[in-house]
Amino acid sequence: MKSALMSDWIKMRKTWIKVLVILGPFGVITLNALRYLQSYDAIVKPGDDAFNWALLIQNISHLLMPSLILGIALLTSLLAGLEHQGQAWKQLLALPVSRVQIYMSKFIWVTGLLAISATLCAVGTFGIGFAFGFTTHIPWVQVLQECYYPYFAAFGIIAIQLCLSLLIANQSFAITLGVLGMIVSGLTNALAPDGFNHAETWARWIPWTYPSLSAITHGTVQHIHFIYVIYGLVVGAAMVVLGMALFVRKEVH
Amino acid sequence: MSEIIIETSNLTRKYGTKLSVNQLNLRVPKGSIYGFLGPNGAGKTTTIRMLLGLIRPTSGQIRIFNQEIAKHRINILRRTGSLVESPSYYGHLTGYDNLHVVAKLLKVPVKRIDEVLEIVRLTPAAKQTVKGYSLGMKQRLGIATALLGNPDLLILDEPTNGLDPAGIHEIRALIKDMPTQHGITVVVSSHLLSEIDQMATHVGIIDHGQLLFQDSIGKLREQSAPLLVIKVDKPDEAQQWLQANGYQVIIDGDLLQLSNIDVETTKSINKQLFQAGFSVYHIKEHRRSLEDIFLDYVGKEGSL
Repeated sequence: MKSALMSDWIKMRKTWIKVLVILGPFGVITLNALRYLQSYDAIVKPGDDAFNWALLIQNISHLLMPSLILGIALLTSLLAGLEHQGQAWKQLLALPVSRVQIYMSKFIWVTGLLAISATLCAVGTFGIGFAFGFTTHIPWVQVLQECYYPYFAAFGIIAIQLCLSLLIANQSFAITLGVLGMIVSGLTNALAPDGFNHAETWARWIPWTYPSLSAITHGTVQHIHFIYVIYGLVVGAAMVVLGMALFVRKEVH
Repeated sequence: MSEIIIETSNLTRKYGTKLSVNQLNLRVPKGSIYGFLGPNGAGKTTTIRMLLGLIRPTSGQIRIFNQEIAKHRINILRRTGSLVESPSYYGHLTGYDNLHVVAKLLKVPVKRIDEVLEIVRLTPAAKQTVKGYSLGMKQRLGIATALLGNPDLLILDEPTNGLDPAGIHEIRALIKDMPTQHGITVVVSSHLLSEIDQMATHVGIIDHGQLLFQDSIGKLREQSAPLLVIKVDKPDEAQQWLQANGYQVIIDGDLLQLSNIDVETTKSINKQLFQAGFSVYHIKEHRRSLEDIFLDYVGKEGSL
């Protein structure tokens, strides 16, 4: 397994993959930082740090959700594209390595790289807060939940995108699905909070809603639903197994 | 009988209703260069993909190194290097890094990368990205990749495709060295007979998915033994006279044809015919080229 992971690491040299991992959270944080710089007086209530933090979490979260879902689609597609581009599959799969390992290595890399993005996002959130002087009521747990819960809830999306990108050479399918997923996740965002009760009946069937439903802040009130993290992990595991089964049987022409 | 490295029994592959490979029984002896010859679309690449476990046979079996590929794929592939059709590569990486990717998977030491680069003479281009390589360089990189794991068996599908004459010559020299210098058995497919003729020790001819001939190249060459063609004034009588004197003669139009001929017999036949009162107009040796024999096997419509 280690050799497959290291092999993929070399493949990622001189690609946009590693840049994207940093660029995603960088964009989310920078855009928010600019907004706070521009309209500090309108957004920040001096002296009410509890409110300031809650609003900051909400602002970060609204940008984080779409970038996470689109980022997953781009990242998996770039990673799979490396193999499709130079017709590398027939060489790779004629090597004495099990296809399960090759598939797992890709999955581990995507989830690992996105963990870095999620971490950077959390660090950036604290960074903005401290930079603008929110020194009391620091919501350590809430910020971590806002960044890591959607990440884990997105494992189903990761597994679906990876399966599609690896099995279908034409990456426009995977990217289209990613964009549609991003729109769907935005719809759940618009439903909150009044629509939550309604969403619970159907949202569990649509993995693209899990990240935003797992941790969403609306009207400076944070709603945490750990169940969507569980859903995300379950769907992720199921889709990895399914994708792997298809990949192992795939004929290489 | 030497050891058999690749053995297939009734190997068959269907695409829909079309039989791409039909009841193939390959026998590749150890230490041979096995030329897998056939026109485009004959089923060569399909067969090779099955040998490497990239696609599954519809029916039939494959044994490599005396192991069933369906059960021992990884073990077999550990001892096999391959190059399938068009080159496989990561264009954004350098030649060296392309080999590094595979070296990691094969768990071979990095110094082996320099060795194989040296073998295919790509050392000067090792630091360039592969998307800037010419087709010939990509093909050589593919061969380097195939050699990376010190294989016992090398399976090369059309390795000289798209190369210029110098490149073809180089690859051919490389392949010819494999059994003698490294003890590697080589299977090399091609649609060009001349190419197989110049390097193979064994030949399998395939067309429309069926194996039409399989033996040593010597056996194929025997079929190209020269014929003696004689034109005389009275061919029928001359044939009878020669047969009475113990020669095997067939008559083709007004020409007499004798096989298994050497210079001495030619001389004496000429002399005897003259003494028996026949007028010999001309006498010549006719050699069928391997090309003719190949075309006999695959039919004239087979594209070369």
